[in-house]
This record gives sequence, C-alpha cells and structure tokens, in this order.
Amino acid sequence: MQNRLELVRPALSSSQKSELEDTIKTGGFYKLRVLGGQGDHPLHVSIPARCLVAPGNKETFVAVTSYTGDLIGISYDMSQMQCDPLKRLSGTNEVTLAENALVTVTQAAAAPPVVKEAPTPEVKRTAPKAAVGSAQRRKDGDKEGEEGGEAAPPPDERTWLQRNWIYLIPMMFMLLNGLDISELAEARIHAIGMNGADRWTDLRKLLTRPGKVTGPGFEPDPALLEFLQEDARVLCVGAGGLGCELLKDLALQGFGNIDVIDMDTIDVSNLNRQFLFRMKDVGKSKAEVAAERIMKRVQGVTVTPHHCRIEEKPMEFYEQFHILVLGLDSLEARRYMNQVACSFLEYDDEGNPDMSTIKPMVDGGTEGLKGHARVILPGVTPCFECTLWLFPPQTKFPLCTLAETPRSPAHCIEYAHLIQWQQERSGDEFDTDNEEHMRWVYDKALQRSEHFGIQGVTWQLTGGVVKNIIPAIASTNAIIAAACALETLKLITMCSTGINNYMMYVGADGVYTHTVAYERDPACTVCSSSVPFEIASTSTLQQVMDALMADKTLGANLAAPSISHGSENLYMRGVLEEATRDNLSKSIGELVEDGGIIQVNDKKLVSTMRVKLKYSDLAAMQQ
Amino acid sequence: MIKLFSVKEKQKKEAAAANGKGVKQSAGELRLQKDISELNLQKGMSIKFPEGKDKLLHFEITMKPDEGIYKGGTFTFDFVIATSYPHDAPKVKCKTKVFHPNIDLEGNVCLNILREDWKPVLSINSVIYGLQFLFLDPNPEDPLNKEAAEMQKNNPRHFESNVQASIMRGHHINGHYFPPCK
Repeated sequence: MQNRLELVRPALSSSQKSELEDTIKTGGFYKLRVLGGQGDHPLHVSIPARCLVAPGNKETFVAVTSYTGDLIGISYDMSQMQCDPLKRLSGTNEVTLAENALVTVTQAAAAPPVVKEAPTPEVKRTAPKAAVGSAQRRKDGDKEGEEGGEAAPPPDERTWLQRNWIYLIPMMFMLLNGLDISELAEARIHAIGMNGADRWTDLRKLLTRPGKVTGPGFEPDPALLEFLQEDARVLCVGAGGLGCELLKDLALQGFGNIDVIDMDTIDVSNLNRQFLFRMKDVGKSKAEVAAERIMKRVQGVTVTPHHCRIEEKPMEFYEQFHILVLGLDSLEARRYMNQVACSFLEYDDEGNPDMSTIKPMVDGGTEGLKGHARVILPGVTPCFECTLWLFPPQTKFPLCTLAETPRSPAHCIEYAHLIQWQQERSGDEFDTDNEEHMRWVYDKALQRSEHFGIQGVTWQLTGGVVKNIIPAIASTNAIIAAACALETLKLITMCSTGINNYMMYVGADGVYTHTVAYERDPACTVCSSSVPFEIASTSTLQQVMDALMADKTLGANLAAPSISHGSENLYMRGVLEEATRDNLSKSIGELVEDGGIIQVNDKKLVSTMRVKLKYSDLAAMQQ
Repeated sequence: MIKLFSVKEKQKKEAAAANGKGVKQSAGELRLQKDISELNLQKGMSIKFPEGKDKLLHFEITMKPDEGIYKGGTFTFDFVIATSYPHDAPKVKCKTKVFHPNIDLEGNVCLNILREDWKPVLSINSVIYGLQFLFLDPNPEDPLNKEAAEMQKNNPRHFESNVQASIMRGHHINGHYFPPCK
C-alpha cells in the first residue's frame, strides 16, 4: 500500500488566478515545498501547473521516500521521478493544501506512521520556474515562497463548476478542434493572447530598440510597426502546405495587408496539413478560404485572395507589393515568379542595381523532411536562374530498362505509364487525376511485376511514381514557413540582417540546418544587367546589328549575331534565317519599343547578351 | 535597404515603369533561342516550326542518314520543349515508323541523354547528334524493340535487308507493316 497525499488547494484571489493562468499558458511548473524531508530541511518538488489548478480537487500522487523513510519527492508517477534509490511509502498520508495554512497532513486511520515524527509537510505554490519534472533535495532551505501561512483552511463550499472551471477550458479546446466552430475559436485566441493588448510587445522590442545585428540603415522607430500594419504590402504566392503556414505566420507577425494568390482548389488529401481548410471546404478556392480563415482568427489583418494562375496577373499587380513570399511546389512557378521579380530590376549607368527597383523575394520549399528558405534580392543575391543547378534532376529510368530489364516496382509502374498506355490506349490522353486511368496503370504494373517476379507494386507507390509525389510533412512546412516569415519581417523592417542567402534544412536525422551564400551568375539571362545601347529608332535592324558589331566592347564577342525581343525572333542565323530575313530592312523603332531589351545570341558568346535600346532621336525630341 | 520601405518617403514609382515590360517569354524559351540560333543542321537535315518562327517550343526535325543501314531513309522527329527547359530534357518522338532496336513502334526513342543522362548543359544540337548516332550504330544490347534487336544480333544480314526493304519499298516484318520512307 502506498502513501496517498491529498492536496487541497484554496480558492484563488483574482491576481492569483491570473498568475495561475499565466503559468498554465507557459506550461510552467509549481514548486511544492514540503517540510519533513531529511533533517527537517524543506523538500522541493516540481509539479506541472495543471496538477494544482482545481481547488479542492483530489489528486493522487505517489510519495517517494529514501531508504530511511524520508520523504524525497511527490509525483504523479514513478516515471517522472528522477531521484534514486527509491522506495514507496507504505500507508496513507493525506496532505491538505489549505488556504494560507499551506498544508495539513492527516494520517489515514489504518495507516501505520511510517514517516518518523509525523512530518507536517508544508506545501506552497511559488514561482513557476522550477526544474522540470524532477524532485531534488536542497540542503539549503530555499528562501522562495517561505512567507505566508497562518489562517486555518475554510471548508470548501464552492460548487463543482467553481472548483473545476479551469478544467473545462482544455476540454472546450478539444471540442472546438473537433467541431470547427469558428466563432468560438475566436475565444480561444483571446485565451492565449494572440489578439490581446500585449500582442505587439515583442515586435516593439525589435523595432524600437537599436542593436548590433540590425540590418543596414535600420533606425528604431515606433512608426515601423505602423508601417507593417498599415502600409506594407506582402504577396504570398501559394496557399497550400507552405502557404497556409506562411499566411498564419505573416498575419500573427503583424503584417496588416496580405494578398494571397493560388489557382488551386482544396482537395481532401490537403486537409492533414493545410490547417486552414476543413472538410466542408473541399472543392473551394484555396486562396479564398485561406484568406477568410486568417481574417476570422487574427484581428486587424486584411487578406485579399486571388484565385487564378500567377501568369494571369499583369506586371502592375506584382509591382504594388513590397515583397513577394513564395510557397510553391514547382520549379516552373518559381522560375516564373523569379522572372517577374527580376523584370522590375534596373541598373544604373555604372551597372549597379538601382535599389529602389529591387523587388525582394523570399522563397520556401519543402520536400519530405527536407526544406530550404532563401532570400532573393534581384541584382544583389543570386536569382533562381543563377542557381538553377541547385534543383536536382528528376530520376528517370532508361526506356530500354523499363522495356526489357525491369528490376524495381517503379520500373514496372513507369512501363505501364509510359509505354503500355500508348500501346493499348493510344487515343486516350492519360490523366493522373482520373482514377480509372491510375487504376489501369496500377493493374498493368502489378501484372508486369508478377511476370518478372518483382515485389512491391502498390496502389500508393503507383501514385507516387506516376505523379512524382513526395510525401509532404506538416512540421517541415511549419519550420520552413517560420523561417521565411521571419526573413520577410527582417527585409521589410531591417530590424535584423537576413540570411545570406540560402538556408537548407534537413529533418531526417535530428535537426540540421546550414546557410550558404550562393553567388550570382554574372551572365545570368534573367537578373544580370543589360548593356545600354544608344541608336536612332529609324535605323534598320541590319544597321543596329552592324553598329553592335562595330562597338568596341560589345563587338568583341560578336561574329554572327542573332537577335530576339521577348519571344519574337527578329533575326536568327541558321535555320530561321530565311523566315526572319525580312526584318533586317525594317526600322528598329518598329520592332522594339524605346528602352526595350533585345537578346543577342552568338556562338562567340558564352551566354545571351541583353542589350537595352535607347533611341537617341527620341531623347533629342523630348529635350 | 530601409529606404526601400521607408515610412515617410514611400516614393511612388512611375506607373509607366512597368508598362511594356513584363514576362514575355519563359527563361526556358530564352535558352532555346540561343540553342536554335546555334543549331547545326547537317546536309539533308531540315527543321520545321509548325506554329511559326516565334513559337520555338515545338518543332520537327527531319534527317536522312547518308551512311549505315538506314541510308536512304527519311526520318522525322517531333520535339516538344517544356518551359522548364533546360532543367528538363526535350520530349522527342519518332514520327516515322521504323524497324530499329532502340525505337519502338509508338515512336519512343531510347536515348540516354533524353532521359537518365540529360543535363542542362546539353542542347538541341546534342540531341540531334544523339539521334544521328542511333541510325549509324543501332544498339541491340539495350533494346526497346526486342524483335529488331534479336534479328540484328542473330542475323545481321537479314536485319539489314529487312530495314532497307522497309525504307525503299515498304515491308512487312513480323506482322508489322513499315511503310516506305525514302
């Protein structure tokens, strides 16, 4: 039979109550001071705050003693104790923690007095900062919380609700989580201080104080917070796994105006990690639902959704934002956004980027347990195109292996997908979203694997191989989004220097991160400076080309240039020469607008040269 | 940098700055312009852009091997280039039905640089060299058309005469008809 300590806690004053709530919030511990340890030295025991929150509620603890029978700890169970060697007390002690009197121990009737001289444990709630879960002896009586303790305990006359109200809160949370009652969810946010008056305490500390790690040009100013909440415009590209996390982080971080763009609709398989969405939202626009949810749950933020493809928005749309934050899942979309951000960049005559034209971009990406966060300042740090090689190639199997010597289940699946489909259903366009198509591939792959004695073709693997799916992990998204949101805040306020310029994260074996400063590609076709070139708009394309070749610096690397403007091929050597020859006699002003950039390709050039045309005759006219 | 976002001096850039600018072509297309301007087509080869000279992402290349067992034939390959080029390889299909160990009857081509060995430094030129090489040196060890490979290994003479007959006159081989492609 083990000793049972019964702790009864007194009613709380309102200040005690709020202190208690703080302790619960921070997951803090109460320290109990129990007199009657060895040599009457007080014994300190840490108990999680929640253990003591219900006044009068009876909790059973295990009391642990030393060999000599001294009480050395109180705990819920033995596993939480970290003292040795342990023995349980026999018999029952009732310890009552009463108002001011701190503690009374009542011996249970039948229990033999095991603890010598019937110790009167003194139990008191003190600062919540005690050591976690361990019972430790202190030879020197800790001075903390020794005051108090006179009056006798009044009988507990409160109702059940009064005594147990605090237990109801976590239960309500659970219900809310399960039921999604958004209006009530608001209450939860108030309860944990997301919208409270002290909401910006931490942010103010960052923005209104000088420091040694602040970014260039940072001046502490309370107006920065105002700027963040009222003027700063941030675009979150993508409202999926990363996007949901990003939106939440940005909103809670103080950004008052957020736009979100995503062309996707919500799928059932998103719900495990895209936490802004619920079952009833399936089929609706991700951007719209995400915007609505964020606004409902975070006070004072305006989230504007855009349910469309990123390509559908004009450049003016992207121009209005101070910063672009990307939560994308494809290389194509990243390259597109990169071109958008870089297209605003302008260089001065010395070839230095004009700082006011830099559209900063923060990019996050995750793949299973791995992820990255990077900061792109076009013209300053490498853009996507500069470091395209960072993206690993997709694993592709040789077709002949698939056809003749399959060795893995993936080989069988790819054979069914790439070769058998064409042979047997050549008129049909294969669609990864069509269940019947996927089922067909799975069946064929299974047959093939049986034929070759290969094991492991499953329905799940089929989806994985055909759609190139890598399982998304919610915590990876959360970590990467947090890093991105923080970088966004740093870039906007300069309250701290940001990462330079690429952070990788690997969560497969523990937590590993590494930050690398990648370098720009000076010949990058997207972010490198274009060469200004002045010529009359009335010159023919042939004359422009001749002038380029005659130029002392530019001409050095030109032998037989081809010229394009955007997608338009103005004059191409080789196979398109005939098709483009007519343009040679056209005036350049007809083909390219003033200030337009032409791409010049030449075998002598390692990469495309970008030339910005400035029409001398137009400039003269304006003057 | 703070100047960029400065609260007080939020300089409104001229709206005109964005006008006329924009993403007019993908970075993949930019790279392709370079590839096409440097394209080396040998004698007998031709290229066609079915959607016009400014739509480079889709084209057809026709080649006429002037030696080897496929000499005299005319083979057309369809190239589809994704905007993710050069990260992803071009998608190449043979539009001419041909009895070849490395090209199947659907036109799939088994060429390492089109799949597992593709690298962004390679270009359209490299792919064309690869295709030419396939006609000069068909490889029966790594077959996509098993029947062709076995015939080439077991009876090279018979294989050669079958190939030539199909190119010149059209020919049935193992129940499949290969129309002439002179």
